[in-house]
Amino acid sequence: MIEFVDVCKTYEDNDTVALSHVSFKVQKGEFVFVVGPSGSGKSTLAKLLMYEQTPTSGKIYINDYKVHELTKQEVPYLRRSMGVVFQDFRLLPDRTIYENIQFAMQVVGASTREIRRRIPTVLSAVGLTQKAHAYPRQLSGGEQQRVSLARALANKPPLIIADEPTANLNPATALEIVEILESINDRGTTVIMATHAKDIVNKFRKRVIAIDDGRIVRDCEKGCYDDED
Amino acid sequence: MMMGVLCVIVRKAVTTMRISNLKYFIATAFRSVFKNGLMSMVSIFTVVCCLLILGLFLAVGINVNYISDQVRADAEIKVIVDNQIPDENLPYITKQIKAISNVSSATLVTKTDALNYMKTAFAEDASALDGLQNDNPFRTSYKVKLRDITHAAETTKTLAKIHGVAEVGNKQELLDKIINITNGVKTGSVWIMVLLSIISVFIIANTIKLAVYARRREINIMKFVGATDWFIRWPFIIEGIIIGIIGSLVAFIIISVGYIACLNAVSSLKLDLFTFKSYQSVFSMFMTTFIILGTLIGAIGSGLSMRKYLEV
Repeated sequence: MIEFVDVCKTYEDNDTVALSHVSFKVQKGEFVFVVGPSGSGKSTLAKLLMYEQTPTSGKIYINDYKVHELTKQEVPYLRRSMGVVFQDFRLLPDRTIYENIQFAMQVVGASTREIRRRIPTVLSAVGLTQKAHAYPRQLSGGEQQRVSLARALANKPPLIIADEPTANLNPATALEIVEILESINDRGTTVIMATHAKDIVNKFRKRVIAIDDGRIVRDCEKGCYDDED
Repeated sequence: MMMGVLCVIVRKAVTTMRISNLKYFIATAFRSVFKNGLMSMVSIFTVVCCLLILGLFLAVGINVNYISDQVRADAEIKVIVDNQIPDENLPYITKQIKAISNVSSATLVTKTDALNYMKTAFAEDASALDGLQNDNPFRTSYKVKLRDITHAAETTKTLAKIHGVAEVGNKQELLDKIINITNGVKTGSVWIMVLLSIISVFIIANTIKLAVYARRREINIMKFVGATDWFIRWPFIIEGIIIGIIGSLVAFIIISVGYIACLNAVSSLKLDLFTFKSYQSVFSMFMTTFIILGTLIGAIGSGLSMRKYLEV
């Protein structure tokens, strides 16, 4: 599903080594927390996964795409194979919840029929059926993040990448979001979530890849944030 | 090489153009035109201005051409025959004049013809000319029409060499003036058109740049969801084209109203020296020129912005 082989990432503008010689594999259907303090390189890892950044060296395989040698034309198709969730939700403020999800489906060329069938399904998966015609500003932060989750699910990607999805939310709401991610994972979707929320990672007992100073310092099944385990 | 690259671009652009997408592109483009109302208006206004000035030059150019054609058609060279030449020799001279390749027709006007013409011109006072019957002061001449007015000078020389020709009337100066004006208007309007098109292109490019900026969130989301580059570009290109077409339609309406008003004003002067092109004969030319140019300006303008500001 995902494989990093000896991946390095150096930001040229300030010569920062964000990741050095990172290698790991994620199998289909796994739920992985990528943890680490800010500046550790976990955000860079998420950006490499989303193709927001490209590796300086090394090989990255995602969903049968050789990311390290991807042509410009293939990028959209790589991105269609994953759903992405951000810390800042990235919803369009001038469109309703329904339209936000519809938009994500339209841009990949889904038909009106498909859109009409799919949106109620994903809205119910995140428990927002009642709010379909509300605007983002009328929703709480947790609800907005659920909309962006629904949007990530809309095109049925085999992989969901969430970059600090709970950072702007209160603990209770954050828990809800990860519960939804877990239920999505239960249905077979691979989930990778970058976070620094200790309590959440400790509560869910999933695979944890810990990054510090650009290196993987720990990778364990059913792990915790800190390495007592 | 260039053609190959162009082909690839066109193919990629066109494959994105499915019917379901097209609806989305056009709807998005229109929404954006309205959303950036002020900038759209400014762009439309500049397109209108450019096309109006272009239209003005076109109208003047066409009519100068048209009038000079009329003048040219009327322009004839008068070849006066030497008085000493007996009438029997006239067929010989006629033959020689007609043999010149640039001569389209030569009409013989005998002394008697000339006198008769004067008589009709004098009408009731024709009796004043009565005494001239036996002592005709007019000279035999030819009205020579030319095929190509630009070679009038050489033809005049050739005509003068014919034995029996006393004088060749020269209208060269007038003809030169007509030719100069026509050519001046032609080249002038081409340059003004080029200049104004460039200005419009840059103003539209700026509008689209602002539209891209206004929708940067949307574009960012589109990229992460997996929209292809062309899917992101098309609405902006269509937006540019919409601005171009609206501009060209407005300019067309204004120029039509103006042209008809001018025609009416001129016809009320009752000039029978020449006529202007009728509106019916020019409106399709204006319409096609404007719409093609408007569309091109819009497409090129947004295309420019795409390259610079939409790093997708």
